[in-house]
Amino acid sequence: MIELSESVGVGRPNRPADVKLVQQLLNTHIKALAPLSPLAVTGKIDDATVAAIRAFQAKVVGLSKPDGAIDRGGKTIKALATDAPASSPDPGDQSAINNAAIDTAAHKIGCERAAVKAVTMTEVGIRGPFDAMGRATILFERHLFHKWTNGRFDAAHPDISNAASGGYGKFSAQYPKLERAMALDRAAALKSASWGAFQILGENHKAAGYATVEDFVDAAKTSLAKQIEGFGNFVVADPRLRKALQVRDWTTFARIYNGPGYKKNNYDVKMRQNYEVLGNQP
Amino acid sequence: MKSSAINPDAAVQHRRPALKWGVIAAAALFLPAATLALRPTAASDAALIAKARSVAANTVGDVAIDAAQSFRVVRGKQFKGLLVSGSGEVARDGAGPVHGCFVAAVNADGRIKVIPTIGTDNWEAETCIGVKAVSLLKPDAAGTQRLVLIYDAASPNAAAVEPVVLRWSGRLNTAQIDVAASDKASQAGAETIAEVRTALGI
Repeated sequence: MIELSESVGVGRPNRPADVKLVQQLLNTHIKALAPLSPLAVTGKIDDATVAAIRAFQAKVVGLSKPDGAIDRGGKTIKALATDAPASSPDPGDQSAINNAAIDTAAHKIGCERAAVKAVTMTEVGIRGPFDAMGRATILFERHLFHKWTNGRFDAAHPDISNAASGGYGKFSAQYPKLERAMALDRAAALKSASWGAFQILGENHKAAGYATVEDFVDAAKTSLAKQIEGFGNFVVADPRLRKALQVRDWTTFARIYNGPGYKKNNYDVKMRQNYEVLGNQP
Repeated sequence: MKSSAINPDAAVQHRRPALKWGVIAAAALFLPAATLALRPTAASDAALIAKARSVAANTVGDVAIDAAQSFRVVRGKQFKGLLVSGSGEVARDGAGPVHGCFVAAVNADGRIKVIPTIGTDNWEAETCIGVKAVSLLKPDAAGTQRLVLIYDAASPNAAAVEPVVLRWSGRLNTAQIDVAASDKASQAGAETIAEVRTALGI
């Protein structure tokens, strides 16, 4: 369960780590707060953050008198945390299991626990481990399906099999694409999608610790803890990623792990900030 | 004398416009009407660009305008408006914000429509790296104007080049994304203006 160390908002202590967490959580709900723009995650309370808190309280929590403040254990933080767009298919509190998986991954990698947790926080904040229907989040890559099927479906199905990357469509289009591809070549299709909070490609199943792509996908569907376990194995298998986490080189890690868009999305900065926040927690 | 009927000069003056319109009408049969064209923005466009930025900021965080890929739209010497390319943080359903791009279609009268592109809807899975190229395309048979923007984009797994086709009839601020044409160009693997034209058969 996500919790604040101190309250956030109008007339509250506004510890930077708490404000940052609130800004990140509000951003995952920002569509519901239209016409507000996404918040800059600064850790500093400002007018935009207070306005977003008030909007969230009015539109999502249903408070008749939104006060622009989030208190520990209150309705607003509970709604922010539990109504997050991506939730585990297991409704129980998974935090202890997830923490154990983080400990195991950190041990395998040989890095600080806070480093793995910082990456986990960042990755979960992007799309989360599961979608609104409880399915593992995926992204289908048409150029990989082309690769794994030697282009034999390119002419008839250019939207799911194509030498050129791109053309993803909406998030809601990913499972229909995967299912169509599975009907053509199941193993190739599963290898051609990236899975879970860490968006590890199915084709990297061995690096993630699974002999077959089916086993990898089954694990990704199970829980965030299983996804963390696969992430830990994946990092261990790549000396560059492993070294980057060990020395907390967030730029190198984000560049390799998050792809060409890492800088535009400030993933390296977000990881470093999350690490600094977590590093200061007991 | 006020009567043109008996004023030779006046009679000549009447014939001149008739001759002028006749020549224009005849020429119109053989010469194409002035077509739309893109031109670099000018210092005089600063106010409209600032307004476009302001409107975009209602839905996009940390707005940045790409001056190199923003253009005046003209028909002959007539100013029709601006196409302003920009980027910033955009919200997504079921996911955290992403760095996305938009194009603001600014009509000459100041009416503005902000059209989100990479990072939103059909491209919500992608981060926008930037605009590579912009070009008008030949209008379709119904006279609907078309334009393509070529974007550099990225998913968590790959870099991609995404063609986004816009279409509009009349005012610029009625422009909208032509999803079918954009998909067709994408599925043909079009990464340049020429390849988009080929993919769309124009």
